[in-house]
Amino acid sequence: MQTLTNLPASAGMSLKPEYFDSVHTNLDANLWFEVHAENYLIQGGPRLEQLQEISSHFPISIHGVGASLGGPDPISQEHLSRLVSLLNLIPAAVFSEHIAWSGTQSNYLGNLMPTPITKDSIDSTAKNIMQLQNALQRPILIENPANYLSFKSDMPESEFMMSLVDITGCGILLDINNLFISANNTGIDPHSYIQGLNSDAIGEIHIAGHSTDPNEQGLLIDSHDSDVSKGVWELLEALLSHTGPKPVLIERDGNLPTFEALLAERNQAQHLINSIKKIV
Amino acid sequence: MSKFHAAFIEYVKTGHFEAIASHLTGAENQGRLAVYRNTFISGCIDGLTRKYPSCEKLLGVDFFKTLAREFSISNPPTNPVLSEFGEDFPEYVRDTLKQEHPDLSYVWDICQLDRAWHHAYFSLEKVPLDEAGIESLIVDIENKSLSLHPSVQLVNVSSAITTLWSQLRDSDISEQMAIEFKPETVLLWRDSGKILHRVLAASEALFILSIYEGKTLGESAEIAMQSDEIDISNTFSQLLLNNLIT
Repeated sequence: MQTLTNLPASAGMSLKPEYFDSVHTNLDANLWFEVHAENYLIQGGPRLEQLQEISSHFPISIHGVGASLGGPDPISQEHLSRLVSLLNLIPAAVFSEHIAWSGTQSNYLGNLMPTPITKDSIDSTAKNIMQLQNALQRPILIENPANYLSFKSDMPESEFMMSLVDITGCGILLDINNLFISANNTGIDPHSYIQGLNSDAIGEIHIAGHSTDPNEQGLLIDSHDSDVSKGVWELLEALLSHTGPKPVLIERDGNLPTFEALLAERNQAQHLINSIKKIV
Repeated sequence: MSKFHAAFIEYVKTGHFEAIASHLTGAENQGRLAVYRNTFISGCIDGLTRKYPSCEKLLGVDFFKTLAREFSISNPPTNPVLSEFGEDFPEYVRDTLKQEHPDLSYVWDICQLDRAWHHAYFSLEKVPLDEAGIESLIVDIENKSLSLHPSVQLVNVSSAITTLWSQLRDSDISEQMAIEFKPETVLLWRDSGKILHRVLAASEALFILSIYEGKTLGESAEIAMQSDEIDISNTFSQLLLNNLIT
């Protein structure tokens, strides 16, 4: 089995272009960064140059949002070749994608839409994962979605994820915020979900802030625009007690705090990783 | 395509949930489908706001959002790279405003400059001619064809709005500005990660455009001089000094 991730089992943080000038080489040697692949599928310019420079000092995780693994079509060849070009430029420690879809080859809807959790869907999603892994010449990590409502399904989502791991040899990016949101919105038990996963398959963990839907108080939205909530921290601690230290990312996409403030939140995750004792 | 996927696409594009309803575990879930439709539209609007910031400042947040929302529904993205979304937004703005706000025709020009800024910023990097390369031009210079840096953008606008656009990029404007409906040609390029621009004289624009089209320097100079007086030597030196010849 190929190594799922070359990230250290330490805490990382989202890297936005707004933070580039704050990244200095005297930061914590265990620090790593994650970027969205699609923001760097560009021809050139300062954004790409600065990421290349940072990647020569810190491990970089590249996180895709547009491959549409759970969609009805194979992955677009053009998109694949652009991802390959990016990974030739940036030495990524890991590549991850969502178990979601964003449209068809003729209708791109710029969204992470729910993948049907069905037997048929396992086959088509596994084919797409294999297509991506073959193009990138490495195993990828697949991320569990944030669910807002329940769809008819053939199995629990954790079983669906593990089936994809078993068929394709990929790993799992377990997004604890997504799991917390899914538990709140659809009533699943997050601890059973974690128990349903093989710990060795988990190559990275995400935590992030969420918000409440303005139209429905009880509905949580995966907005990545606030600090990590207490409930998500607690679920992370429970997960790490189960798995032992893993790479943990503080994910932030909106309402960006200062670099120092996000780094402080990242350091909180690092303290948690340092203090964790695995429950055997 | 599975029935699930087809039904979901229909919902997100149209808001009709009859087909997707049969895939839900309960009718109470229908209202929550809106999250996906809203996320799609707000993601598109965010992408357009980042690409056309001067247009947003000029029109105001609400008016811009209305236009961006309508554009996104009728012209959804065609690939996952959001920065490539909205290439036709300036023309959409032009056509939409033409009907009800003909006095705002210059907004199209502002949008065109935002689009050119975006192209210049994300374009390929290429090393400019070095000293030896420049020296090698001297022999038979008139018959040489040269390449411009990939970031070079030439934009023809129908009104003299470049100063206004530049102020909108850098800050907010607090005073009213008169718009002169006089065409301008604007050169934009990237230098050390910054986007620079300059309004060109008609003859300069023709000279640079001719180089871009692959004509020799001699041919380019001849075309430019037919339009107006031009100091070819000075214009060419400016291109070299700004690292625009590769």
